[in-house]
Amino acid sequence: MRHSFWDHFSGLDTPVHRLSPGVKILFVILLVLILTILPGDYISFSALPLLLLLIIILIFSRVPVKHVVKRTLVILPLIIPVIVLNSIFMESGLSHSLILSVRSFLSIFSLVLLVSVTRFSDIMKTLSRWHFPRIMIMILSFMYRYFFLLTGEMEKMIRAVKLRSGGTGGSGIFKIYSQILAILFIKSYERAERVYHAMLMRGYDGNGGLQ
Amino acid sequence: MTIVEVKNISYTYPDGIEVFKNISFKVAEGESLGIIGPNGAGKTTLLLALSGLINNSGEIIINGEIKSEKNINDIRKKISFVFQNPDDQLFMPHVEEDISFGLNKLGYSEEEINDIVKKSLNSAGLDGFELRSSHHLSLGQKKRVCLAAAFARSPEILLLDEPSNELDPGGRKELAGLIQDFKGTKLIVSHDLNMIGEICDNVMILNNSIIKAIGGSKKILSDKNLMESNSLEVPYIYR
Repeated sequence: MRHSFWDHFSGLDTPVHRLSPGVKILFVILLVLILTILPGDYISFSALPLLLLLIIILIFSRVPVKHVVKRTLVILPLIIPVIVLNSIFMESGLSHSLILSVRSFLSIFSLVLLVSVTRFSDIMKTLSRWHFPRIMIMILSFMYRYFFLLTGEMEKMIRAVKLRSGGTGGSGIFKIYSQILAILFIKSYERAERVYHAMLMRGYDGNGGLQ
Repeated sequence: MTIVEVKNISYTYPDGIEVFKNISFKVAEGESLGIIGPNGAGKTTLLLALSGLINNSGEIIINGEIKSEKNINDIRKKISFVFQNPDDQLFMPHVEEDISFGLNKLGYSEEEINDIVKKSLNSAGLDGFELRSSHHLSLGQKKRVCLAAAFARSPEILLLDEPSNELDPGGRKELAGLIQDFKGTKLIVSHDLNMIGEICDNVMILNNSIIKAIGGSKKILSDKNLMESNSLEVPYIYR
């Protein structure tokens, strides 16, 4: 199974990695807040300095630029339709769209940088210390834990389809993939029940707390 | 002294299939009971019933307490369950968090929990695995982490569902050794009849909703007619 880990470089030993997780999380929260609150005109002035700041941190962290940029670009499928629709239906839609893209790109960039320089468990521990709702921490932990497992299961099913269909393509392929998604949903549901049983056996009360 | 007493329990799946009907048995403190039978005989369901994860009819008495909705949480504190698929059991991102999950509610301080995590990992031969991500581990390592998590709760009763399933011979041998080292009461569901023969004092055959036989391991496992009539075979150690 092929895995691409979000926090692949979080175990490096650099000054950025050694910084307290709390400081790093606060920095990112502050940055995202600034990007969200600042009016559009100010964004055009502050975007470049903020990007430079993030790049300096990136250089000091020794995390490959390609790793961060590649993961930041996952935002593109969400941004492109917004840009296109804004440009068509809104007056001065293009400038609005550009500002929105800058806000989104820098926010995601800073988040990807955060998980690249901080162990996931340290982020969770810090959030827990800050009394972040336990149920949210558990959901984040489960996302991290089961994302790879579910993508692995999906890969296995796609491989089986390819092997038994003599390759991909054909008119029925979308139907097959939608069926795969449905099976993945059922499998995930059943797994959730088994995980819940395992949690109950170790004191989980079903409401985000422990008995 | 009896630690587990099952009196006339029955369970039917929501689709109407009856898994077991009026079964009764006792397990003594410190005993190792192997539960065997063909696929679909209800072995895993029986373990789920013992730990209160499904609602069955009849009575289950754990350490003198009749299992009910009121006391199920107290009963679960005495039981550790090792599930068949470690990916269902290791639900936290890192090994350390998984082993320490729920320990604070057993009355341990943070220092004690750190100590327990280290000792449990050491007993499972996994020193230094605290910060490893669960999805980075091999199946054998995952199974051992599951055992470490089970040991960490210092249970009186250990329930194991197919512990050696899919393991290579080396991994299976290591795991069997770890299970054998646990001195409490063990109920082991498995198709690995050699391991059952090595570890268990007694064996129970479950088939067609009823207990077909219960008794000493050697007596049951070496009975060719009995084993074959229940879609099983005599393990190598008794041939």
